[in-house]
Amino acid sequence: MARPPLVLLGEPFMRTKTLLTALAALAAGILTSNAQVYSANVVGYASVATQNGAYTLLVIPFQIGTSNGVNEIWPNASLPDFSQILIWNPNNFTYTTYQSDSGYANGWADVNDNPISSLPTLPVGKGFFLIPSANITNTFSGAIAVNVGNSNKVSLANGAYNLAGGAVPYAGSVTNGNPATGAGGLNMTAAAGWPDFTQLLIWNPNNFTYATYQTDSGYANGWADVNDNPVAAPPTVTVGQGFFIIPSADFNWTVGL
Amino acid sequence: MTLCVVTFSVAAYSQGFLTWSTSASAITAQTNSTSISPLFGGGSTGGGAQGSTINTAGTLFYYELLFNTSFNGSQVAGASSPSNSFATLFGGTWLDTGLSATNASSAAGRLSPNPGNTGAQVTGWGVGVTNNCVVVGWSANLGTVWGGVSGVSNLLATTSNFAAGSFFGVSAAGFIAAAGGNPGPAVISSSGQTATSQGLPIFSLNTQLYALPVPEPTTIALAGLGGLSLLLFRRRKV
Repeated sequence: MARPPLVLLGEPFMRTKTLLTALAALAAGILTSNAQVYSANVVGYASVATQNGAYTLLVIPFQIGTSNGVNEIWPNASLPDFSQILIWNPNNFTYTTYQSDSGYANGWADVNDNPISSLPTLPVGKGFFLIPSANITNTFSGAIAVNVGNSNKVSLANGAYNLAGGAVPYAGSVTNGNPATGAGGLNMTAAAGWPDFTQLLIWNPNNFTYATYQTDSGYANGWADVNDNPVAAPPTVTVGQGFFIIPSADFNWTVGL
Repeated sequence: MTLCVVTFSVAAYSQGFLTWSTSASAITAQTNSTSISPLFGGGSTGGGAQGSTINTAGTLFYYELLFNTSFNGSQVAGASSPSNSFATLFGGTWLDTGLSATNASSAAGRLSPNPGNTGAQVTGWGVGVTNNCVVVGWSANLGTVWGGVSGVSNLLATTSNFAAGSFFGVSAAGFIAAAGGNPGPAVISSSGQTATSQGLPIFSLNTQLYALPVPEPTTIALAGLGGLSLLLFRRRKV
């Protein structure tokens, strides 16, 4: 069976141009010769267009700089002043708001426009909202956090609201991926350990609601809607898209490369 | 788990979610020395020296988000047309959301939400319901809260002369549909120049806080003369 594409191009308003040549070469090497290229890492970038005032749920699929700090993700005041990011706090179901402000030395302020001494970070796989104050195409550039042949495992607790996203740049059906290693997609399947009735909330920026899907291995494609009715196809994501995961039991989410 | 359901469900008749924040790219304020508040029969525009609302010692300004339920499909006139909004400001048409702000200490004109909230809920503002909204701002010498008997709204409705240094103003209007998810749409946003599927956020840079009327010098002089006359009369009687 052919592996699904790791990165798809041409998504409207969300476009990725990773260094496909290098990536494809590495992938082909694995497929054709079973070469053990386990230590190689891949760099790339994603261009994500966001509109003024729109609430876009994102994830940074790259390691950028030393800490994935907002100053490293948007260097040199590349984010328009007073653009906001919302960082989810699952303990109290609130967001902490930060805003860009080039009037301060580190370029960032809190929601009250007071300076902050510690800049927020956006680790790989952690979702967040971006509300730009002008139309902007964000260029996220860095190393893919998962080396070729390796997997990234995230422990998700039963009932927790995890604002997350793919640890690797990926677009397509959420069910794609090697069940054991996660290579080739987001690997959201029962075979990969996802418990039934785990919910996936996909943000709709047009009406400020979430479309809720849930895993159900009783259906052919493994997914149902919020009312547990079958869906024609599993949900899909675009590169850099964040989403909520609400597990129905503790499990490890495995995403590989 | 109950909290989870409340946070993410879209339930009919339930309160919707709004984002209460005051981005400096969308709203700022400044005082205006022109004593022409439309509330008291003056014009709606005018020159005058424009001053800072920066939070320095002894100078504070308060802001409150108001809404009304008379949305008719388009933006209502805000500060530019007192006949449409100011006339009804104290008549019970505009309701207090309870979402407030003060002037920021970081730079002139900026506001600080108190507190900021991406999941703000307003009594009477349901999911999917579009309401008109404006921000009112005033100087701290008028009071610290908007509503109630001792609130600023009551003071403005019942008084016509104020202490020097009293200011009041209203932002441009917006209209927003509260959402079923958190975060809700921003009530104030730099995208407020164009309506979206969620409405038209307030976009009101350089909102003018006009000086409120103070007793005129002639009135003060007449009062002084009256008092002086009384003193003279008392002396003659003695």
